[in-house]
Amino acid sequence: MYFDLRKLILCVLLASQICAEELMIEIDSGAVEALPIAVVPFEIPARFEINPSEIIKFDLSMSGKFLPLPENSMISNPTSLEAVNFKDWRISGVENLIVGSVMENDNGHTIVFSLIDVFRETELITRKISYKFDGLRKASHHISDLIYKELVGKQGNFSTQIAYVVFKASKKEYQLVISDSDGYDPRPVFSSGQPLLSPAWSPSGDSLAYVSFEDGRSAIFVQELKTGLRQKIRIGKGITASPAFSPDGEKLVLTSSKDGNSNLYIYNLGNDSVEQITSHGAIDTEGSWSPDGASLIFTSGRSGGAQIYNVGLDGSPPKRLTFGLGPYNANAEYSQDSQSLVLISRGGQGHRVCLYDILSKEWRFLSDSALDESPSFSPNGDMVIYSSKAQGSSKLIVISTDGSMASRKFTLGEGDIREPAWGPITD
Amino acid sequence: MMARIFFFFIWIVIFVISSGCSNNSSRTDALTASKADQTNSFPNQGGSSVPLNQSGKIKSEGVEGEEDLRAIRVIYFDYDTATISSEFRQVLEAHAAYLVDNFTARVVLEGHTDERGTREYNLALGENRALSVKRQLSIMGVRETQMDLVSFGEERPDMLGEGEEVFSLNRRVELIY
Repeated sequence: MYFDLRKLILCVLLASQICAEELMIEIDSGAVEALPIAVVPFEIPARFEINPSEIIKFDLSMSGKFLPLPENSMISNPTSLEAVNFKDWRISGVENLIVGSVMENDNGHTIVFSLIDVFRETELITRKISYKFDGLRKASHHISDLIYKELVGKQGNFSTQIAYVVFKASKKEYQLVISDSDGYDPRPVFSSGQPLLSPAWSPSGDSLAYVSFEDGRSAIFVQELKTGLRQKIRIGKGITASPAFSPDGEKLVLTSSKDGNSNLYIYNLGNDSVEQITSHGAIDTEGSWSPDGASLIFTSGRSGGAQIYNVGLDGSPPKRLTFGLGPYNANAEYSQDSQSLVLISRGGQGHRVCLYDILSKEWRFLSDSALDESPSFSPNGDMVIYSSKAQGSSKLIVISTDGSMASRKFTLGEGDIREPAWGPITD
Repeated sequence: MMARIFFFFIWIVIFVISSGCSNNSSRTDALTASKADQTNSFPNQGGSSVPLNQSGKIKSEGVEGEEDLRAIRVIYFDYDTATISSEFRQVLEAHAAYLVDNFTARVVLEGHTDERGTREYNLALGENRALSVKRQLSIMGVRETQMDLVSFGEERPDMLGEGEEVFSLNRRVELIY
């Protein structure tokens, strides 16, 4: 079923003192085959903060794989399997139905929900989820994950977090911020009057590595999120930048110009030892690990322009991966299956986000703007988050990788949002 | 004496003209502006304790020209390159002459890029630009210990906005005494 471009705009007023900004979240869903689904408003206690069905509907919409039925097109509002009149939903053309209710208990609330197959008239999932008073959003994202897993066959990304940098020019302030993957609940974890960039998640989601200029020049800091403890890493003179955690979380690949030119090094977090990986007169930077941890991809200027290379950690020489894709390709990240890369490519229209298939050497642009940066896959690879600058300010965009063109934009009332990094699945 | 007053007057005129059109200043305007801005304040900035005219090696009539060149403290670069254009050779020679004569003077070479391309690549590119200037000054006899490098990549643009004019002013190495 094809549908027209739809736009949902949600304004969220964030009460956080440091980050008191109006965050706008906008969903664009392109014309594509998406699964018609109905998320019926859950039965909720009086004066309840938000209906979980809204959060679930939002998650499913933004994935680009689902087309939720608008509430005013629903003929009935059942809240349990027993109350469903299947005829109502067959007429509406939906294939799946989500119904549920929320009950109060001593420690918080319990949600009971069912995912129902309209044509077979059977339940696919029925689950009871209890949460403490502040856990509504988390529980709702968990339900979205269960639905995604059942209908798409992949682990959902709705319970994950994102990290990004906010820059407020008026205050000359840089903030490193963590929020839920749908943009809610932003928590600044570090602020500085000097530039912050390149946040990278540890595989456990416990720490962030990032570049800070707080000492007047670039250095890497590894910050434990729970305690706020920070470890500074600078190896030698020049720049120390571009950190990425190894899949086992024990090492960082980083860029250093300690010997004059930018090369890749592996820093062992356990014993502080440093191993040089590349040694070339051109720029080597933006190291990123293969999912198996056996090799690295990086941006190198060794061919004359920036291109993506792979280097094995067995000492084999670097091999170029990007061919035919224009003169400037940078900041690549492997997909979870190692088959493709997401990267920034400069073409006639500027710097855009591109999905590049390593074997076939085919590519597809995911964005159509001119100043895009910092693409990062969601853990299951179905979505990419990146930053895009237009009219002098930068926003975050989440886009599906399946070609559905479903996208979501995060913009701040004042200030740039940039350098997004999608966190791991931690449950 | 009359000549000095005359030169000073000329610089005032250039300063007024160049600051008047600073909104759409081109690369050469910026060069002129930086000359005019910094000519008089140069000896007082930074950590050097050696007055400029103390050097006995510079002939008295050459001092004006050298000072003017040395007042240019920004080297500009073409897109995605760290190669120093020949138009800045004399500027670097003037800085080198000063640093060679005043071996206690130190300079920080601060590399910058425009905003196009990725932030980390630009951080490395800014470093390479600073390194290019350092190598050039080394060849001209400046000691390793007199020079310090720092790159800010695209994080500290000189001009905000988009378009080649803005970008060209941001691709630079600043010599900070």
